[in-house]
Amino acid sequence: MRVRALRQLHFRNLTTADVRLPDGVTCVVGRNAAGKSNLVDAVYLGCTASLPNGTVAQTLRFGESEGFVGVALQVGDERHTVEVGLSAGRKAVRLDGQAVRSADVARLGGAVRIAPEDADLVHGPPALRRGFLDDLLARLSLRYALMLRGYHRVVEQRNAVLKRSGADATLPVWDARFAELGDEIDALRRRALTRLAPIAGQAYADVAGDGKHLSLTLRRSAGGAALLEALAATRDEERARAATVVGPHRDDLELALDEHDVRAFGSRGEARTTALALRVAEFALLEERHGTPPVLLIDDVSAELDVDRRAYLMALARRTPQALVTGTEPPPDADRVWPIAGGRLEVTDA
Amino acid sequence: MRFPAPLVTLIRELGRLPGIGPKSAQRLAFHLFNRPTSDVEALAQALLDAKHGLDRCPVCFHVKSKDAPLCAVCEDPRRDAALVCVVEQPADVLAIERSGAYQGRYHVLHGVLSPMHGVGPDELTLDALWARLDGIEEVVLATSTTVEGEATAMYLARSLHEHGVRTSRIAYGLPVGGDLEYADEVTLGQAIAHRRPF
Repeated sequence: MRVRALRQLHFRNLTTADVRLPDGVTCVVGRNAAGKSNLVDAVYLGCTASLPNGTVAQTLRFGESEGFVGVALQVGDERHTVEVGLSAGRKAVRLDGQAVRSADVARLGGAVRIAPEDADLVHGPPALRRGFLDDLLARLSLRYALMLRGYHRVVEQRNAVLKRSGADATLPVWDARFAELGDEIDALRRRALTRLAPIAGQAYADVAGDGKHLSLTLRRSAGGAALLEALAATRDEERARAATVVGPHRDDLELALDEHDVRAFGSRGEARTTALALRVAEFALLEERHGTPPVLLIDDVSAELDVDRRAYLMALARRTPQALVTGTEPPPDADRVWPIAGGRLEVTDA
Repeated sequence: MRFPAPLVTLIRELGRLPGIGPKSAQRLAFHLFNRPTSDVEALAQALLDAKHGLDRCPVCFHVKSKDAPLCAVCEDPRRDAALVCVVEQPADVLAIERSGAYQGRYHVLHGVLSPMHGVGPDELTLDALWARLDGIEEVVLATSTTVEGEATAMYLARSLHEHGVRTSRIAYGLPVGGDLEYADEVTLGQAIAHRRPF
């Protein structure tokens, strides 16, 4: 997939309304707070109809109540337009003029964003790793996206039952639906990991060259127990906390180097390489699913001080049909360099 | 600028209707203001007549006119009394009736189980359903395929099995006349999982 053009209004600090994006590696260079990340996020929003950090609440320029991001996409021989209308924490998505769900846009091929905060994937709480997995699977499979949404709704309904005092005749029904959807999510996550793990492992080996083996495993909050048994075993705790305490919404993606948890034992460099390996695997799976490479967005490549990782990132950008790379100074092998300052992009050639 | 009080009240009341946001409410209010008085009076009368002239059927809880003892379906002796279709809302009865494919009777729940919104079995018309099970052979569960609709169907199926009544669930699948290649993969997956001997 490729982005032909980006249009926006009131998206954070961006002031350039219209920009045509060529193929190859485009590097956007500016100082901090010049709008580099905002440009990357706008393109990501156009390609996937969602934001990397999930929320649309803070996407509008301060003082504005409505905004807009639109992209013209090329997928093989087909051309599509995606428009995302933004207003006070809500977004309205249109694909070729028709109102659609975000998932319908994500199914076109999507984009992968690599950013300095990816290190949080390794060091942060389980929710971030789970979010990485869920977000990727939802983009690979509409079935997963719908199942996950249903599962979260069941958990909310179950928690509402648990908040009430006294017996509730409907709890067994919510338990059954919980287990049914939970088991399917569990199975799909495991299946995805068998494909994700070898790619991430190879990417880690290619970048680090330290002979260590990166492994990805799903750590279930229910341990080895079936979900219904796990619910029964935690009945007292969930009553006390009025919340469902086991299940896929509490599971973690464990990242280990030679059997040692990277989160606890990894160096800063190992953590960053691990995060990069996850993004590379995300890229590969999206490419495999859609038969065409996604748009590659590398935010703040200059924050990457390690020579090997930076070289790997730029090689990745060169291999793909279209990449947008930002930094405080231009990398040596960009096809073109566009300065950005105060949210205004200066397009030197196109 | 502030609107005069009657206009503010009208906009507020219209805005309480489902699917009507503040902008639509304002548009409707000005539209009504610009209509002839007779049109507005006819609408007001229709609202009052509907409210005062309608009632719920004491058997199935579908809408009926106040002066009739039962709804049109329950009154019809040709309808199969041994077959009952459970739906969420009166609008679902109308939808199934339009299909012309169903000859049994109905039971309208007036909602679905949703603990988040304080809706449990007692808030639905379930006691009346248990009370009419005599002579019913099969209950068709036609709640929607949302999380709440599915949970409600499952709750009903379990309770009805305890009462010794056979249950069935409406089938999921492809829209008639639709091309396979245009069906989304979830619907298609359901259609394949629930395929039938042919």
